[in-house]
Order: sequence, then C-alpha cells, then structure tokens
Amino acid sequence: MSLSSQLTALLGAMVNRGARPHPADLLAAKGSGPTNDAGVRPPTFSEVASEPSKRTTVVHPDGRLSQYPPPDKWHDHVEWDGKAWPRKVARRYTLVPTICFNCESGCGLLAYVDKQTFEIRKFEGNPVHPGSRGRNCAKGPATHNQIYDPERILYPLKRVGKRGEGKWKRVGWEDAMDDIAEKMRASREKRRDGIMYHVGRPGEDHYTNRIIQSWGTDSHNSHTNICSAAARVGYWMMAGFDRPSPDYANAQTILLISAHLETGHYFNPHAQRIMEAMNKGAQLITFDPRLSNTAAKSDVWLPTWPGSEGVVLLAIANHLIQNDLYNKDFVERWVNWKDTLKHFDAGKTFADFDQWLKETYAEFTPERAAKESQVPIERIHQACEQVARAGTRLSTHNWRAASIGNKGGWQITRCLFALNVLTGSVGPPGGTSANSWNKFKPKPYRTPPAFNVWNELHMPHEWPFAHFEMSFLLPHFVEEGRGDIDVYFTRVYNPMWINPDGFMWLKLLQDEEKMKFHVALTPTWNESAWFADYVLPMGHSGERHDVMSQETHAGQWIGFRQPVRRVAMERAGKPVKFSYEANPGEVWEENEFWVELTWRFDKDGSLGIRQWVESAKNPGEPITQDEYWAWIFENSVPGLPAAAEAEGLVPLQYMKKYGCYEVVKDHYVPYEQDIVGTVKSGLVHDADGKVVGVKAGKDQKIGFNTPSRKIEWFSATLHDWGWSEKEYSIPWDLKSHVHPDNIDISKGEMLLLPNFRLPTLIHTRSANAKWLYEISHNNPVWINPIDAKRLQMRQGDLVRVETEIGWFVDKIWITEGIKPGVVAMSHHLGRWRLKEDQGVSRGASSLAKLEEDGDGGHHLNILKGAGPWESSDPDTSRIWWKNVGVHQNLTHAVQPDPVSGAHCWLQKAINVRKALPNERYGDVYVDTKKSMAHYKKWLGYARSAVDHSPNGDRRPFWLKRPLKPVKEAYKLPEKPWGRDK
Amino acid sequence: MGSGQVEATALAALGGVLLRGVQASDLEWMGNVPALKAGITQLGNADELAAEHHRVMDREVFPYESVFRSDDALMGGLHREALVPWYARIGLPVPPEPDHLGAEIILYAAFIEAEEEGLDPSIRTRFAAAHLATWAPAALFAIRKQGGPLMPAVCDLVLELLSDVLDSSAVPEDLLEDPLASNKTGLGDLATALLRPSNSGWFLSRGDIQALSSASDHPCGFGARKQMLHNWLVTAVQHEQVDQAMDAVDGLLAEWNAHANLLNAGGLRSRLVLPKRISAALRAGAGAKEASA
Ligand code: SF4
Repeated sequence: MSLSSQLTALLGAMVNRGARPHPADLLAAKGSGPTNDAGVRPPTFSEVASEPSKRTTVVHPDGRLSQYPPPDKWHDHVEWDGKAWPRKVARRYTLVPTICFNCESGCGLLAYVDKQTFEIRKFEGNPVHPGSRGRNCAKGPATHNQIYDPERILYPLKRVGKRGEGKWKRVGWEDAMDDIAEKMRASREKRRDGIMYHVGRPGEDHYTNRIIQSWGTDSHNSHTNICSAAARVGYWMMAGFDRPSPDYANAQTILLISAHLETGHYFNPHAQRIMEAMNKGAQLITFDPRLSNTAAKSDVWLPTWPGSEGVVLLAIANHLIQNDLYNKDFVERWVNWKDTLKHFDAGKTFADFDQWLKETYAEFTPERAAKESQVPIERIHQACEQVARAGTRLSTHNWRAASIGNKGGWQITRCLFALNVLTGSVGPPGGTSANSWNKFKPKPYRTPPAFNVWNELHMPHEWPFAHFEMSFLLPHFVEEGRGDIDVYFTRVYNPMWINPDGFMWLKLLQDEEKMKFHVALTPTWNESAWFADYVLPMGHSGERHDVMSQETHAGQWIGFRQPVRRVAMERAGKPVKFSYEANPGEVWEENEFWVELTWRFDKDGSLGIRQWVESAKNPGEPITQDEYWAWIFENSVPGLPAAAEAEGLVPLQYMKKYGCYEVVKDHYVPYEQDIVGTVKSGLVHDADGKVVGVKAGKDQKIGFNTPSRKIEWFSATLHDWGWSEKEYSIPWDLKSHVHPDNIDISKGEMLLLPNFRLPTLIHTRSANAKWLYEISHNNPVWINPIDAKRLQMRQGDLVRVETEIGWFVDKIWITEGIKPGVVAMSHHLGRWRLKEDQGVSRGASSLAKLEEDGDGGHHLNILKGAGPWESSDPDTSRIWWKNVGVHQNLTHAVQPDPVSGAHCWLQKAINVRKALPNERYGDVYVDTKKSMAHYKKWLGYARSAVDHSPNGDRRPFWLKRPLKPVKEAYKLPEKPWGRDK
Repeated sequence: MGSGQVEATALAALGGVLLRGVQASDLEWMGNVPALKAGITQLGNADELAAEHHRVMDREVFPYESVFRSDDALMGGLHREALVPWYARIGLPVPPEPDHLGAEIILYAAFIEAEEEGLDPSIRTRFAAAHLATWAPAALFAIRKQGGPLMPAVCDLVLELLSDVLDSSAVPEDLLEDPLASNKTGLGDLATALLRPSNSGWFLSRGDIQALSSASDHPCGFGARKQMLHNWLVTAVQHEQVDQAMDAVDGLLAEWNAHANLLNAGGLRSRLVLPKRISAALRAGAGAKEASA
C-alpha cells in the first residue's frame, strides 16, 4: 500500500474517531516528572544580590575549629558560590537537616536547598546533632552524588520479557501498587508465610517493621546473619544486649577487634571520640591481621591469626585473674557466679569462684596466646598491662570482623566482653555500655498484634540461636524443597551480589516457580534488581522520612530524616502531598509507599490490616507522614514537647527545624537503677509477677536483660539447648574452621580474609557516588612479600584464588600490611552489569557476561571495565579508572555457624597461584553442586531444637527476633522439615 | 471537521505515539491504518510495544530539540527553555519535556486547532520556523533509520503530514566551528563533531555506528557512542583501510542527502556537508600517508 493511501486511511480513521484526548492530556501522558533536574541535567541555582550570612565558630572537644551557619538563620542563609570564584556570586539557601543513610551511624546532614529552584547545592554536617557534632565522613556529603546521579532510576519499572532479559517498561505507581497488592492478598488468603520483606539496610528504627507486623504474616527477613549475628549472640548470651556502646571519649584504654569497625562503619561518631580520648592520653590496642588505618594509629597492634583472638583475650583475662587485678566487687555484685559454681560443682563462696576462675583459665598463658596468634609475646604483655591499667575505663568493640569471620566467632565476643566484666567497665564513664542503653527507640504509634505463624524459610529448627533469620541460606533452603515465596520484596538489598554463593541466588531469582514475584525497592540499579519483576525507585537520605538513633556515645538522641526538598517547598508555602512530588522523577519514599500499598492490600478493610495505616484525624483516609511523626514526637520522646514549647514550636516543627533532639546526656550504669517489687529466689517481680529486677548485694536493682538479670558467665540457656560443653557454656576459645591446623600452606592453601571495609564505600549502594569511586574503586588481593616470593609473583600480577566451590582472578598488591599466610580483599567492590547502558553505574561496574554449563558450572567474565560516558553530568565523561574490582563473594561457600547461624566469612583458599595466560582479570567460576555439598557439611554441625529443645519450643523465647510471633508459634511443628520421613 | 482539523487530529495522535508509545486508547484508530496495524500485530502485545518504544526513543535516538540543536548535543538548556512560552501562548501546561519531538508535534497540532477559535496562523508558522522545522527532518529520519515494525511507518506519516512545513526549513543556520579548520584536530574531535547534529546534520545512534562498523568490517566495540565511533575510526586508520570505512560513511550520507532533498530541507542539507568533508579529508590524509610511504 502506498504512503498516500496510508495517509488517507489515517485521516479516515481520525474522522471516525470517537472522543479525542485534549492536547494537555497527551502531553502529560509521558509522565508528571521529573519535577526537578536530578538525574536529567545538573542542578541550577539562583543568584541573589546579598552579602553572605555570618557563621558561628565551634571549638570541638579535640581542639579543632569549625564554622557553621547558626540554626536560627537556617531558613535564610546566603553564601558565596565557591564554584563561581573569583567572581562573588551569592546564593540563597534554606538549610534543611536530615540524617545520613550511608552507614548506620545516623550522622546529621544539613542540605543547602536553593530557595528558588529547590535544587540541593550540597550536604554538610549538622552542628546540633549530638552524635556527629557537625562532622561527617566522606560518604555523608557524597549523598549529593547519589541524588544527582544521571543513572538513577527515576520511575517505577515493570519487567517486560523474561526475568533478567533487561527489558523494562515504565509504569505508574498506581498500577504497580494495585498489581503488587493483589498478589499479596492472594498469598495471604492461602497462607501466612508467603510474603517476604528482605531488608538490607533499614536505616530507620521501627516504621517499616510496624507495618510488616500489621500484615499478620511472618514476613521480616534481614541481612543480619552475614553481618553482626555472631557478635550479637555473644553479647546477648552474656548480658542480654546485642551490641556494645563504648564511651570512647572518656576511656583510658580502647581495645578494638579488627579496625574495620571504626575505619568503616560507625566511623565518624566513634572515630572522632577515639581521637578525642587519644589526645587525652588513652591507649589504643587493635587486633587485626591487616594494617588498617586504625591499626596504623594504634599503640599496640596485634596482627593475630584470624580466629586466634579468643585465646589472646583469654590470656589477658587470665593475666587479670591470676594477678588479682580484676574488679572483684563488680564481679561479685553482677556476675551469676553462684549459678556458675553450682553448675561446675566448685563451691559456694565468692572465694571459691575466684579459685575456679584461676584454675579454669590457667591454661591461657601469654606464651600460648603468642604461639597461636603468631604475634610477638611482648605485644601480648603490653596488651595485658594496658587492659589492667584501664580499670573501669576500658572501651571495647567487636562487631563483625573476628566474630563474623570464624566458626565459633560468637565466643570471641564473649571473651572480649569478659574483659569488661573483669575490669568492672560495664557501663561507667570510659567503659563499655549496651547499645540498648544509648540508642533511643521511641514507642511506635499503635502497635499491631504479634502474628501467629513461623516462616520455616526464616528460622529453621536447626539453628535455635540464630540472630536473626538465616537469610543467606534462602536459596539453599528453597533448593532443598523447604518452601517457596509468593511475593518477595528486596529493600536496599542486593542479595545476589552481597551474599556468599551468589550463583545460588541467581538460580533462585530466575526461578519463577519458586520465587514467584520479586519487587526490588531501591534507589539505584543493582545486580539483583535486574532479575526483579518490578523495580521501584526509592529515595536516598535527603528524600525520605524516618527516625534514627544510634549508640554513638554515653547518651541518647533521636534524629529525624526528612525529604529535604519537600521541607524546603513547604517552607516556601508550596504544599506537597507525597514525597515523590518533590523528589526527582517519581522517586518515592518507602514510608508513604508502605502505607499506600497496605491500604490496597486490604482494600476493603476485611483483613483487619487497613486500620493500622488509617489516619486517626481523618478516619477513612491513610495516615500521612506529618500525622504519624507528630504523634511520635508528642508522645514518645521524653522532654521533646517541653523543649519545643520553649521555642514556641510544636514537637514536629522542632524536629523539622533541628533534625535531632538529645534525650539523655551522660548515661551510665542504668542496670544500677533501683526497682521496687517482691523478691523471690533473688529476682524482683512486679505486681503481675513479671521479673523486673534482681537483688544485687543488699539492693534491688533493674540489672540486665538475661534470665538471671545478671551477667551470665555460665549460660544455662546454651547449656540446656544442646551446647552443654564448657567450651560453649562459658567464655572460651573455639577452634575456627581456618585454624592453622586446617590450612596447609605447603600445599598452596591460604586463608582468604574477604571482608575488610574501606572507609569511603558502603556495600553496594555507594556505586553511584562518583566522588567515592574516584577515591576507591578496586579490590586487589593483599599478599605478604613472603607469600609473593613463594608463589613467584610480582607486584600487579594476576593471581588465581581457589575456594572450596570455585575460583576468581584478581591483581595482587604485595604489602607487609597483611599477615603471611593470609590473602585479603576488601568487600564493596567488583560490581557488574549485563548491558552497556543499563544496570549498575558505568563508572562503578564492569560490563560482564554470565554463562552456565547446565551442570552447576557458572562463569562470570568481564568484557570491559568502567569508563567515561556522555550524560547530563559532565563528570561522567571524566572517569579515568577502569578496573572496578572482582566479585569474590560469588566464590564463597556458605558456612553457617552452628550456634549463631552467622555466615563465617573467612574462607579456606585451597589453592593460590599465579594466573595462567588464559585466565583474565575478574574471571569467576563456581560449581553450585559443590555449593550444596558444602552447605550440607555445615548443616551437619548444627544442633537442632528438634533434638535439644528442653521445652518443645523452636527457640528460647527470651532471645530477640526483629518481629516476634506469639509464644504459641514457638512450638516445634509435628513434622519438622527433614524429619518427616 | 475541516481537513485542517482532521490533519491536526492525526498529527496529535502520531505525536502522542512518538512521545509516550502506543496506549490502549490508540489501538482502535491505529488498527484502521494498515501499516500501523501490521506493526502492532507483529509486536503482539502492550509490553512489547512499550519495549519497542523504549528501544527507539529512549535508547537509540534522543529526540529532543536541545540534543539536535545545542553545541554540546545535551538535553535541556536554552533550547528547551525557549519552548516554554509557546505552550503558554495557547494555555497549555508546559510538559516535563517540552522539546521532545512528540510534544512539539502535539503543540503544532494544537495551534492548528486553536486557529478554529481565531488564533493568528502566523504564530504557528513562526513556531515551525523557529523550532519544529529546524530539527524535525533530521530527527524523524534518524528514528526511521532505527527500523522495527512500527516507528518507520509512524515517521513516514508525520513527514507526509508536515511536508510543507519541513520544506520551509530551508533557512540554514550558522554552522558551528569547523573542526577541519585546525591542524590539531584528531579522530576523537572528528567523532565528536560527527555526533553533534548541530554540526553534522545527522544523528548517529549506536545502531547506526554498528551498521557502519559492519559495513566496513572494522570493529567499533561498545560503550558510549563517541567511544564506539572513535574506536571504529581508529581501527580503520590503523588497518590502513580508511577508504573502506569512508565508503560506509558516504553510503549513509547518500541516504541522508536523499532524504534532505526529498524534503527540500535546506538546513539539514547544509549541515550534511560536514560529514562529506570529513570523509574526504580522511581519505585524502590516508592517501597522502600512503604516497609518502
Ligand atoms: S559515618 Fe556513616 S552516617 Fe556518618 S557521615 Fe559517614 S556514612 Fe554517613
């Protein structure tokens, strides 16, 4: 048919056409965004004729000076534009406080929002924030990169074609939510364990969990078991809290196990207080096989063989015990020494306990510690002396590192905390407190009831002490036939990349029968989102509401994260209903999304869920963020209403203005708080018969959150639930899977330490921060010159590291900063994408190819590294780096600790050698048949509640779970998985 | 409805397809146009239609006036802002992407409709001369060249409906700096110039560069368009097969020139001189090198 007849047909069709859309509707159909330039072109800022505002000078505790705009002028701040120099161009901003989301510290940020264009000029520190005190690490200001990332996802996307094919279509929020809600409803009508919300970094303190709980399903899954689970178990079993909160600023001695914590995680608030203490003469002891930044600044660096930390700690404990240098008053008052003696049948008096300690721990000599840790004995002596000298001013920390690295790592934490117990440094100035004493958690607005169901994919019976869900084993559980998932949400979580054994995740994410529906909530592309059914763009820290608090020091504070552009618009009198109206494109925030989704999930209220997201002010309407947070700040934060009133504000206005509030200052030894009640068997009970305290000497005190309300040197719980040997029931050293006996260097074996952190990156979500990637972008294999010589390798050579399930190829970096026998790599790096112009940022990822042989063999090969590209941001054309690291986690075998359930990150490298000519940088190979075999081997170490539960429950009820079901759900099933044949 | 109104309705409908892809409400009228119906049938369902639109309009061609007319070939800036008052003129809200080809066509159609209500027709003529006609001939041909079951037919119909207007685009604008004027110009600079429609007239998508590469049998690799084009030129020079590569360029250029001639689009034709000159200069450079060897 000729063109003219086509045209005739077209015109004919137009004449016969019914209602024609108005041009305005046609034009709007492309979408209502972007509402500003983020992700589309660089932001623009208005120029004003004004002189810069005055700043306040602040003298920090360590003597340094900073200048900040005073809070009463934040609504109208003028300063010269540094980029316009030497011209004097004034810009006018409204400064909006928010909270950083680039690690868990929750530092305060101050967004400089242009008063006319509402574009964000920069993020600086919030000087009134009690934790960060105006300072940030490099990752805080880099939030700006993430917001103005030209590759960020701006609109909801729905998969078109096969999973992983990379075909997407833009959809509206309404359609996406209706579709997802429908699937959730269908699942919940069938069962209560079909919806899974898998969170990487919550970055908030209760909001989402409250909503998940309202669904009445067992849906919460976390990343804790590849992170801090082992440390949590150690602390919990001893003192009923799950992480420490050292008062570094006032310490005499600071003891850190692996510096990566304070070099990379709770980095800024802790690091500034460590420096403050060191300026005042505190000594720093660091255990780390790697010369990290912190190790380099330490007074005593102990490059311990990974897994030997427990022996060294017990040698220090033994030094205190044998020389009567321990704090006997504290131990007598607060340790469950009577129960301990009773169990070991070792006497009745405190003198008997002293004797028992001396005999029990005598074997941990400095000589043994030096031998097992491969550290010169003088350094062990130095550490012993420094700890003894500290008295009650001993600040210690162990979060991931040795505890998460080793089989039995949870005991390393117990051994460390034993030093705080022996020195009486639990909670006083300069000592070590519990996180729960210093982290302020507001009581949520109307708590939904606990659910009555147990999701077997979260917490199977084999690991009754798991802290928390056995999330990294999800693909292995599904592969074994333990279950499937109807609706899977990943939130700021990239399971295929971050977990060990990623090819097993790939298999799961591709399996549309077992993983029926996957919704990825993420600010940026990631490897796992590529295999999702929906990718929903969520806001960064300056684009969402949350409350945050962290145990940064001996005090409590609460911070308010806010969508800064929205607040700026509201200040200018422009009302915003949903945050996506103020955010780039249609980037939303989780909080509003959850409310709207839950509303649709229970569309007629018949499921009883809708009530939990319904407004009290406007019944029949979903609750708004302002209503929710106004309630929290008025009712859940002691002192805040009065502080607000003193300034003529309501609490919500106060939090919007300052972004934080200090709830308690100088918070020490809360367990010494008096309590009134009836004493029975040494425990104080309230009128309802609930245990609320303990007799300590002659006093009635609140005590600790353990069954005995004391610090449990001997743990009856561990003993009664199948771990009855002394090695488990009291602080002891357990032999790691990477003990030197298990690594034969003469056969080419080495220890792979794969998880040290860089201070400038944060797991996988910093990939879209150009400033951070310019600083650090690759992860070479650290190797000692002795090993390099043995392997005949030179600086920069390619090395092939073989693990128990596969191998990878990377460059080496020869350095004395790593212990001989150990090869080390940082995590965060080695990102990849499957299409040139879609997926993880082109400046941060390699273009890669995935292949499988149909028999378990999987390959990842790098086709091309990072490079420059044209975009709205001129900086993307200036990317000069190519190698962006190797994705080593794919080759890590899963190693669930039999007690804590934590993945033991340290890997046995069964062969390390120079790469052959056909082996290229970034090549990865894994055999998933070996993956499953390795999983089964470690599963065999577990002691199931089916065999050991003393009361027919799956798990001791006093242990924590992020969302706890009702007690009834704890009963072991009649046919536990694997026992029904 | 007068014939002008019918054409306006058709233009608005086609502009809508260019802007946001085929919507469910479009299926009925499109089903009455055989070439469009064939495309829809071939693609099969709404998801595939959306994916095809995304491929052509979001990934291969960047159909924005700012891309086609600005010095840096980037989106936004003055060329986009200059569109804002035109929408305001007939009370239309300014869309998020006012300089998208589809949006400009819808606006043009809205002017025709408004003339029914007495709008001065010279406004439409001025709008076309200042905006649509200066770049739509190139953009529509670039989209057409990306192939696929649907978009070429859509472009043909738009070109046909706008042929008078586009013909009036004969006014050549000032050419940008001549990259061949400097003896420091390298292959990278030439690749940049070739990728700026404001310089070279045409628009080269990744697909076009790949087609050049396979026509001349020199690899272009993958990556940003500039990188691909640069790779390709470098390989041709290194292999001393510049003529082969320039044959491919000239072949493509012939297609573009035929299109410009058909429309009598003077602005486009005047720019297409640059790729021709670059091709000739590279051939001459390679020849001189051969002679001196
Ligand atoms: S320490 Fe953490 S919270 Fe603080 S600025 Fe750095 S990344 Fe942000």
